[in-house]
Amino acid sequence: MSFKIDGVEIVDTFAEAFGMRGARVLITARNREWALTAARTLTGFATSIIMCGCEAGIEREVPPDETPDGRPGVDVLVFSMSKKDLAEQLLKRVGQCVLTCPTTAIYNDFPLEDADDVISVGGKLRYFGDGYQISKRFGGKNARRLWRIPVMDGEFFIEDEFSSKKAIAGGNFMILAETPDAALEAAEKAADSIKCIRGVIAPFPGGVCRSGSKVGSKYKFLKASTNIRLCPSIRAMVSDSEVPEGVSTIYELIINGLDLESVKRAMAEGIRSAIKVHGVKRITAGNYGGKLGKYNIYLKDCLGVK
Amino acid sequence: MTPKPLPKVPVEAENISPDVFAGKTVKDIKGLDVWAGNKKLRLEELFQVSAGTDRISDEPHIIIDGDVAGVKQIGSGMTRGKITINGSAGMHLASMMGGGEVVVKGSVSDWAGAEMEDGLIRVMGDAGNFLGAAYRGSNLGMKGGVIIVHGNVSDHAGKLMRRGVITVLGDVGDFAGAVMKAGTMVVFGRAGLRLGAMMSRGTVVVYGGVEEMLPTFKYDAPYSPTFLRFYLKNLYVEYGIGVAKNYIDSMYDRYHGDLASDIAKGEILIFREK
Repeated sequence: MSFKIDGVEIVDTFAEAFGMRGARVLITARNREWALTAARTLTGFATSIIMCGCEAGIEREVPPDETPDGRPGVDVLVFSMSKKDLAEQLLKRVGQCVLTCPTTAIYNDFPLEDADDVISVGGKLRYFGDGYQISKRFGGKNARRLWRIPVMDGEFFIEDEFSSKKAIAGGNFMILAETPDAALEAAEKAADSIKCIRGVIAPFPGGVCRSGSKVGSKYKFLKASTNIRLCPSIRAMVSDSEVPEGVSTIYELIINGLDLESVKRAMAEGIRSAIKVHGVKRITAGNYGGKLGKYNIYLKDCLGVK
Repeated sequence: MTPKPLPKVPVEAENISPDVFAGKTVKDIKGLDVWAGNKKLRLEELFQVSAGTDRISDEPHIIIDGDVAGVKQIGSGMTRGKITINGSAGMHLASMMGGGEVVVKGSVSDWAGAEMEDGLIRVMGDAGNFLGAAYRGSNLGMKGGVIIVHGNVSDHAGKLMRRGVITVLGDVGDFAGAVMKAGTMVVFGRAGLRLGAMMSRGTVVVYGGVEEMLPTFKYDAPYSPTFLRFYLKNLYVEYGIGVAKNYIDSMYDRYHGDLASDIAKGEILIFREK
């Protein structure tokens, strides 16, 4: 079953998404370039939970008048399977990628009072100061606590605690197009639209995944393998292929978010941007029959189609 | 509340507090005890009291319309609500405060905010001695909260301070930050003698120069700490201290001390002119 929007077929199906834990961290630095350098380094090797430990990406740049210290900033979202994993990933990534980067500071950018849990990051990294670290609170005993850790270019300023929030990972949709150029252009436009939505990231390279996977493999040692039903080049070799005739290229956009509504909005905006590209034939989504994930996000629902 | 002619002896008025007024009727409030020397009086004998409602809310705003420089302990121990004094206030203003807000349009006497734990005190004029300090025999002064003085402060500001922020737009006298344990004092004017004497931790920032640094403070290096950007931004965004914005991109000379104390991890940051 399917419906059409702007002449493009949209399969009446759902994306199967999962519960994860998310955090939003704000990195500031002396200038935009260094803030982005730290953010890109922190979010490197963080495309998929399968082998990267977490899924992370840049949510948005933050102008100086919106940051706690008045310097240019970048908001980053990090997602992991559990609070424990998230804490470990944040500790490693902040410690190795932000603490080490010139002029940076890092803050929790999700209110603690709305968090599901609290993670100690600065509270653990403070020991790097070897006894010379200084704790600061602006205000009363319930004010947020930050640490000043002496380093070679002055000090590394980091918030003691970060919020951990129940989040959603694996919102997705797929673009099936006639030509490689059309598919890529549609994917790029979709990824650009998703960048404008707050509370979400698309963690794959450039926001786009070319190697959608399935659970299991003919090889016993592999947990996941290529999604043969959606590989155009072997269409005729796979009895239950889902590739329609005339489609040469498929890209998948996977979206993680701090709340379900943001994920749905991102999927909708991404799809609307993609279908404007000439040569896009079909939009569909990936799922496991609804048996694994907590959330079934119907494309119809995202797009407001009754 | 409007003060009537006040006696020449000091008045002790710790009952002038939002915590005390909350939930009471105007009649109850008028009957509250105050002390003038060794005489117990009713509040209505010293103040004209009126309110917009019959029963005071849980978060009252007490407005004192006049000068109460001879009245001590106003707001002492308060934890909520607000007090606005359209004049000057006497000693021990909001001492041991645990929350809420006090605004004084004039000046305050000694011991304002002594041993406070939270809340905001804003003084548009000057402050006396021992601002945010510890009382005699006490190990700890101010433990939290924010004090802002738009004028000058006399001696011993922040003595034995443990946490919180004191901001002074004018000058501070001698022994500012003495025996400081932690917390932050920002002085946009000049600091007097014995700055940070015996401090063990904490930070004093001075923009207008120091009369004379103690020899027991050692120079570290030129420094531009990020935490101070955070603090300055807080001051001008949250508290409207416009001058803070001028210094957000500054360099400082960092001194640590006091080497006469056991820990000697206090810091004094002196603004460097460009």
